[in-house]
Amino acid sequence: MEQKCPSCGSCGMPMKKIEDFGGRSLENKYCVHCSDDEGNLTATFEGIVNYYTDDFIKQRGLDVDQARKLAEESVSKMSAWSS
Amino acid sequence: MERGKREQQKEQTRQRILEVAYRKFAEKGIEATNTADIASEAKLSHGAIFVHFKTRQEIVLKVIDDFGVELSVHITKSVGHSRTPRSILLSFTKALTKFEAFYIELLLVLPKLPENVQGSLLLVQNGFAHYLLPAVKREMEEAKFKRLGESGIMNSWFALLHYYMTNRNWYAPNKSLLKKLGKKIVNEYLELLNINK
Repeated sequence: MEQKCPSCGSCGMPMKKIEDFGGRSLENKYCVHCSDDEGNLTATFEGIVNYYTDDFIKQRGLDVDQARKLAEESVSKMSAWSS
Repeated sequence: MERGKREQQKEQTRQRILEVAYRKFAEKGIEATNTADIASEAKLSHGAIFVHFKTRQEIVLKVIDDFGVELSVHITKSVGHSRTPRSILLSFTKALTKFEAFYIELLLVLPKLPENVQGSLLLVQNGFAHYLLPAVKREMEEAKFKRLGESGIMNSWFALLHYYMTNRNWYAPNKSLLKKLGKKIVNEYLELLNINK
């Protein structure tokens, strides 16, 4: 990889402009959807997993149980949820 | 100060290992690349690799994780301003060109990798879906495209794209498949959706 790219430490969303960063601060590790105006993390692990599970089922037609399992496995690697 | 410098060097070495591993995985294949190959290419002793990573698998997982993040950001930057299905798909294939060799390798070995790694690729594709789906739906509303469900829209795109990518040697031996055939793949997909075809 040539350079580190910012992506939300909670949901993985790429953050390419200041509006994408929680609290509109480039220092924030979390995106605007996962944090409040001060940039504090407000998302929950379960909420992010549910979001991706629904997408995997609706957008890709995955098996329901497998969709949840894959979402849990992927989201648990995000820095907000990995420790 | 001295300690800070050591930490910085350690991080640089760790990063070099990951960059070399990414390149070797893309060139030689993930399964065919061992830690000795990575150490030699990174100009490190074999043992030095394990100061930074406990196992080969840890390197594989970290390289794939970083790749997923990098690709997501690259796709978002590239596709972000595109509005039509054609421009979105062309921007996507263009963004993917830079990562083509590794992406193909990942597709080939994916079923054998742990599920959290498989999920990483799904997350990348999920981000892209948020651009493609609204654009295709607009065309459907205007009766330009056939009416398909979301999974039909997304899976038919990836089925076609991944078919060409995993059979690159048939279509673009020793070349970039996406540079050579990116537009053709996009056209074929749009013909499938086009109501007048």
